[in-house]
Amino acid sequence: MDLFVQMTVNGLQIGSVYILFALGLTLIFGVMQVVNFAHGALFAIAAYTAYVILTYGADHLPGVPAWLLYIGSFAVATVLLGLIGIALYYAFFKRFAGDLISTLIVTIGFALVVEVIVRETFSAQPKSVPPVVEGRLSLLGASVTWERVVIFVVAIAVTVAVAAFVRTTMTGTALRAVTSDAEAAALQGINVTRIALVGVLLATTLAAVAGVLIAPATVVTPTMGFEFLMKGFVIIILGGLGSLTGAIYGGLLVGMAESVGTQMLDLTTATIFTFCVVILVLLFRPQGLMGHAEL
Amino acid sequence: MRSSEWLVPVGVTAAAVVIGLVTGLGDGVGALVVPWICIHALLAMAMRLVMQVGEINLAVGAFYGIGAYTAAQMNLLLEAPLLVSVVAGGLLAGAAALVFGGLVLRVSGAAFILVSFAANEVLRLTLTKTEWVGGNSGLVGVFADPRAVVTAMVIVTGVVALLLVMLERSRWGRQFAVVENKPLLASCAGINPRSVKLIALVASGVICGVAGGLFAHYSSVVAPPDFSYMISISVLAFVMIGGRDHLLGAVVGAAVLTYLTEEMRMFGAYEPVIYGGALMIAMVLMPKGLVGAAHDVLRRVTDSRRGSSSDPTGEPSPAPREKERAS
Amino acid sequence: MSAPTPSVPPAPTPPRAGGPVLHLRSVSRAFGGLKAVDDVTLELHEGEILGLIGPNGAGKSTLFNIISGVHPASTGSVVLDGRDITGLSTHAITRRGLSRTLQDHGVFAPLTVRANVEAVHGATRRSRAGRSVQDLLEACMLADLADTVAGDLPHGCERRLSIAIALATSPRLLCLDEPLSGLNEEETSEVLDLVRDLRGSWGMTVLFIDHNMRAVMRLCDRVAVLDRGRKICDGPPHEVQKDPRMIEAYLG
Repeated sequence: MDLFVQMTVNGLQIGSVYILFALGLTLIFGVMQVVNFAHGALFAIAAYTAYVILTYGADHLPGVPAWLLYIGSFAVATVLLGLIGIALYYAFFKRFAGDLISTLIVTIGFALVVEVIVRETFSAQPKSVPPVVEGRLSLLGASVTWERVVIFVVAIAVTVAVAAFVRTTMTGTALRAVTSDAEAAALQGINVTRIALVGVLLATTLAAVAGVLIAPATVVTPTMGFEFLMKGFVIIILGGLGSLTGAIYGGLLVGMAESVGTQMLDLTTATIFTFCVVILVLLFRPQGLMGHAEL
Repeated sequence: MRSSEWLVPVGVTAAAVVIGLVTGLGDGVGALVVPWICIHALLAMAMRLVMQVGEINLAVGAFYGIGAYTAAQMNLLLEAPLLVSVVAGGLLAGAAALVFGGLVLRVSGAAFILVSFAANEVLRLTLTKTEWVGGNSGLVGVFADPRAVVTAMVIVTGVVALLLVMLERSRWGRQFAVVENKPLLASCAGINPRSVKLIALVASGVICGVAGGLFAHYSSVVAPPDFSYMISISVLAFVMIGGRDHLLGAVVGAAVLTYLTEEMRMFGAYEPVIYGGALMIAMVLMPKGLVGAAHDVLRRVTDSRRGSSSDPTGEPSPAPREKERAS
Repeated sequence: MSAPTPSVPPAPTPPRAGGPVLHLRSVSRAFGGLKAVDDVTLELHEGEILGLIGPNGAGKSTLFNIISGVHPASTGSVVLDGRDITGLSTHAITRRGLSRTLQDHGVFAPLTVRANVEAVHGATRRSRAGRSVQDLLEACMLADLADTVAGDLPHGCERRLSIAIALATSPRLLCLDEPLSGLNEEETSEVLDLVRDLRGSWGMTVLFIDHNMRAVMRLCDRVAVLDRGRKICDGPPHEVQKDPRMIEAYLG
């Protein structure tokens, strides 16, 4: 029983961050047909932003509480990634609109360059980020750090906010219309270019939140972007490319599979196992769990 | 196909093979670079083969790895001769491509890219966990005569290039082009796009496996990091920077980037920056790649000299990309 | 102007036990709540040219896509030569002898006319066993243009090439999807002559969809009218033209 609760708690916690990450990935694919390899790099930049701000604060600003620095990191990372997103949009995405291969290539190029810049700036050594919240919470026999509780709560809150934005606002409705059929949306008078930019900014914001959020609970490394990218890809294939609901289910599923797998075996085997599950799903539902019926 | 049309590809290949053998077996920088150019060119040609049916396969590194591990084991356990090990590596990688394609080719486009990327990483992880192929440290001590290996590399690369030129000009090549650009038209013509893609993927897998087998004998060590996603992405860079519309583009891209990386080694581990930066710049400034740009320049020159706008070669020039929108 | 030939010319290929070449049985297809095709039953006989007409959005293209396997039918069945082809994929249907043209993507522009036909001709055993590439080019009046790049062809020739490509699969039934759209008068009559010729000399069975009502009435032995997904009438052109339901569909 204790083990079961522990695995569930871990799975939900990992899954909630995966959801944030995958939402950004699937969103940008939905509105622009971009397989965004840069998403992992953006995520890593956000994590390093948190590392820089929190470490600097701990060393030089003894009076400032860690949670304030943490919130500051969110703001800085969101703005920083937003600017990068706008640059990527105008430099590449707009130019290569709808061209899957060209956008794939430039985002891969961007990711490689970022990885090296990060490595040269911070070295390849994993960096640990000073904790923001201390202590542990005991829950039904499971034990979890408050740090991870905060991560889980924030991740869920952001997911709900994104869902609410997409379902209830005018812009969100337009976003969904563009995702399901860009041509039809344009015919209905939706400004597809503007909506695409909104999608990009929403995606970079999600990458910023996910990167900053995960930083204190893990170590940050130059390759963390690619590691998350692979998980993100698996999740959005599982959920269905472009589907937001699919990303949420996929994130939870992969989080749980990883938690159970890690407990029973080890992380590597768990990853292999998850991938096999994805292949199995594709055999029966090539469009993913929540994808459109026709591809 | 008239024999005169073979003069150019056969001539170019023969010349390249001779240059490769002379520099590769000498003492200069060629000895360092030529083997890698061969491996990279083989992988790039394999990558392009799948692109010719409209898919991007980021599991190239996985098939390369399967070939390398197979050939290494053949050498270590059975003491098989070089060519036997290499062929075995190609065949097993082809078989792996058959299974992978059979399972995964029901998706295409973005989904195929993502699954193949993940598959590459999963294979690498599996290798690190498999003790009978050495786990994290891999297999060590593959022995072969270095000069024989380099000779084999250069000749195999030439032969594969010629075979692919033949393929491109055959009935199959045309079917590939139709499947890539007009999948619906292909179906209406009774062509099953999935089987055509599977055939291309398996052939590509065999080439990757052969490249892996040659690599194993050249480096004498094979380990999981040699087959990460990074190799697949580098190979994609070779094809795109060389120019995807020509077979020569894959080879030129592999040669130029491999040589540049070697020259820049003194700057430390900047390899990804070279590939990454080159990819971004090339897509914007030179979307047809080096060979495509050279081809355009050449055509402009000959056109202005003749004062006509007709295609000077007369052979069907590479397809201007025009795609059908999914209905 | 040649008068439409009401009688079926002698067919060189023996019909199979006199059954219809194509038989649609209560075919329906819904997109969301909308029934794009609603309970359509239709028969097409050996050597017949059947026209399918209807106002915009009547479901003609959807029906065509169901027949050729581009979309599956929601309910009902499609039978070709007595064999059920419902739910088969497009290439499998083509291999069983039903070939269709595509409206906008009927030819592969970078290849020459001959290479276009050859690419398709070499693709299946069925087509290799059929007529030669040269025969196909001659039948479609393209022999002189064989070495022209398809992308450079004028509209009318491009349309005839798309028909030649469809014929290269050696079909029992040729389905033409708006083969006249965008053609001028001369090109239109060339395509109509070609279709008549194919029926006359090869005994080809043809399903013909087009907006050009006058041409359809002139060409076809029988005409079926679709309106809002339903078949509202079906008969020889002169009868259909007078049918009040047809007049209502087009004017109402």
